[in-house]
Amino acid sequence: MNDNGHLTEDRIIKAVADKATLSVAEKEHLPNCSGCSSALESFGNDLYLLGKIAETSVPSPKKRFNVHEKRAERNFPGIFGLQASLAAAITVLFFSITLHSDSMKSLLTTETGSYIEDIYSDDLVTGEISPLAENALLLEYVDIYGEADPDYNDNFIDYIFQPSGDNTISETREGEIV
Amino acid sequence: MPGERLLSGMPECHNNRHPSPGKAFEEQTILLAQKAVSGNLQAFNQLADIYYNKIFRMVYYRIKYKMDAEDLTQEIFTQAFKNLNSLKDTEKFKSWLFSIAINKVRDFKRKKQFVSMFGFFPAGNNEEKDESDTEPDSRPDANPLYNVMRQNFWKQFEDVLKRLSNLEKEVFLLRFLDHLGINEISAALDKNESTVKTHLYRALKKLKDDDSVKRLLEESMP
Repeated sequence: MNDNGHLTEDRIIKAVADKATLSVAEKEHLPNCSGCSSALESFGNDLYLLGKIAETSVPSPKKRFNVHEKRAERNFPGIFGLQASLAAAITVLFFSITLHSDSMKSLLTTETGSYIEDIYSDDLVTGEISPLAENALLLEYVDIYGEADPDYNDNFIDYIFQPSGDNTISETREGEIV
Repeated sequence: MPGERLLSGMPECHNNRHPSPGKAFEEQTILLAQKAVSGNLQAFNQLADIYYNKIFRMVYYRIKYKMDAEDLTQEIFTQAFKNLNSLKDTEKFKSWLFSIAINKVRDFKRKKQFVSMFGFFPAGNNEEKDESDTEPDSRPDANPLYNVMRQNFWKQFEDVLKRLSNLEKEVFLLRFLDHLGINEISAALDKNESTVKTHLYRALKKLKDDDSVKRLLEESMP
């Protein structure tokens, strides 16, 4: 209240914001003072009118909201949605099939190490045998295809098909090929 | 009284299928909220029916773009439905729903700001202006004069609100446009009542000092 016993502008604003903030004396004063009550009403009415104009200046929405049974069922499977559950199931299935396949087993079991060792030792043995075998034969026979030196072709063919003297094929009485 | 002619000249905006807020209305809301929380879909649909226009308007006041407001309203109700279990006190259903709406609008504005930072959309409120310039009210009883008045109103309204801080603006809108009580605003914004009152007082003081509300009402007249 000001010196004249009327509500100050601040008190009127506070009353517009929330009437409960007024003291008992102020509440008793309002109905008896046309100046204070009209000041309060004027500002209050302006705000009310503003709200009303705003309300009527909003276009009407076209959509409506409606929850259907099926939609609700989809929304209630706990933390994971249906799609997430399906994705998880497919992933588990994929891994279980892959892990149980023979090729994956051979890769993932403990035999993998020995398998690799076997291959390595085979390579070593082959590596040792090959030079020995090559040294045991005459050089001309090492190249069994005779591709290295075309001049040795005849010798090579003689080596493969040793001459028997008679190259003709004759038939015995019993019908055996000689 | 300024604005009264504007109001009387305007077509009826929304159907009044639901009773105005009162004790019986609040009790009905609480009852429906209790049923909805216990899994009654019909009850939730009824709640959506009651609050759909209110939430749509609330969103529109803040973003002023009809299509986005419709999408956001749908999202708000979808989120509300999904999170019904988090509603502990069914008496605070309205505040709870508005708090979801406030957060959704906030997220939307943040995303819009982020996108405009990279120049995909023009910054500022151009989109709003475009919308209000190009989208006339499609209601059969809406006349061209009303559409022009509506466009002018939102432009001037935006100018008036520019003087307020974000929280002052939010509290003002919730109190005088969304018609929430101080306790409901306090719950929706998760602020204590004295903070809400202080910000509301500051907002009203600014608007009263420069007479912007009165001028807005006068300028909204043809």
